[in-house]
Amino acid sequence: MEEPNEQEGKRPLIPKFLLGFIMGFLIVAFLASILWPGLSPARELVKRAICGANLNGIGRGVVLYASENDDLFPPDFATLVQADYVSPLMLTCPSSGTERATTTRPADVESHCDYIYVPGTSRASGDLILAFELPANHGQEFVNVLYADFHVKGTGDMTVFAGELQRLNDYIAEERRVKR
Amino acid sequence: MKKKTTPFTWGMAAGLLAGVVFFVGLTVYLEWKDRHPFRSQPTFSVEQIRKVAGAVVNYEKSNQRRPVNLEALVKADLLSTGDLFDPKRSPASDSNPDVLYFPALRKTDPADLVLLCTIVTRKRGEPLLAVMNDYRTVELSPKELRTALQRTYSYLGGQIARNFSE
Repeated sequence: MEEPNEQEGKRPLIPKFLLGFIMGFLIVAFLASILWPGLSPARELVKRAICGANLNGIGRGVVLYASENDDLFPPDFATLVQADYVSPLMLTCPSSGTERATTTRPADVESHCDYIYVPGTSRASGDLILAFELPANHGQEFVNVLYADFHVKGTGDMTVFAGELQRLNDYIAEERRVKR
Repeated sequence: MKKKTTPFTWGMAAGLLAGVVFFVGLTVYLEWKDRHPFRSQPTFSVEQIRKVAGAVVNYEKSNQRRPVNLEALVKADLLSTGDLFDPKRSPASDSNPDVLYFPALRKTDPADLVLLCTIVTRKRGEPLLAVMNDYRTVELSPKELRTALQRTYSYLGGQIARNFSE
C-alpha cells in the first residue's frame, strides 16, 4: 500500500530539477548574449562588417567623384580623400590595427591605407574588382571586395578571391594590349 | 537550523554551471579556431614560385614575350599542371592557379612591380611571396605586399587609362 505513494512522491523531483537546470542555463545564456559582442570572435565579425562598410563608403566616394568628373574614376585614394569624398578613417580596416592618416598628403594617405585601389576600370567593367584588401587583414579567413559596379562582397574562399583577381589582371593585360 | 536544498535549487546550480562551462568552452573554441584556421587555403612554397618564375623566363627567351597566362607555360611543356597548384590540392578541382600572375607587365616596365605573388600563407605570420618584374623572389609582409600591389595596379591603371592627368 505504501509503494504507490512513494512513487508519487518521487515523480516531481525530476521536473523540478530540470526546471531549475533550464532556468540556470537560460540565465547564463542571457548574460552571455549581453557580453557576447565584447568577446573576441564576435568582435571580428563586427570588424568584418565595418570593413565592408568602409569599402561601401569608398564606392560611394568613387560614384560622387565620377559624377563630377565626366564619369572617370579617380586615379587613387588620395584624390578621394583630398576632395573630401572619403574620410581617411574609411581607408583602414579595423582588423588590421592600422592608424588613420592624419593629413591628406598622398604619401600619408598611402601609408595609412589597408585597401588596394585598381585604377583604370570604369562602370562598364561591372563585375571586375575596383578595390580590395589582403586576406591577412582578417587572419587569412575572410576578405572584402568592392566591384566596379559598386557592390561589396565578402568571401572566405581564397580560391574564389584569387580567381577574381586573376580575371582582373587578365582584363588589364588585354586592355593594355589593345591600347598599345 | 539548516534549510534543506530543494531539487529546484540543485537543478539551477547545475544549469548555471553547465551554462558557464558551455559558453566559456564555446568562446575558447572560437578563439582557438580563429588562431588555427581549419579551412585549408591554397598556398605556394618559395621553390614553387621560383620554378614558375623560371618557366616565365624560359618562355620569354623562346617567344620574345611573356605568356598570356600561366597555363601557357604548361602548354609549352615548361611546367606541369601540378606546379601551379598547392600540392595538397587537386589541380582538376579548380582552374585558377594558386599563384597570382600579372600578364600585363612587360620586361621594360619598372623592376619593383609585382609579376607573381601569393596572397595567403601556410601559417599566420609567415611572409607572403612575390616575384618582381626583374625576377627577384622576395618575401614580404602583408603591408609590404599591399604597397607593392598598389604600386603595380597604379602603374598599370595609368597605362590603360592615360586620361587621368589630362
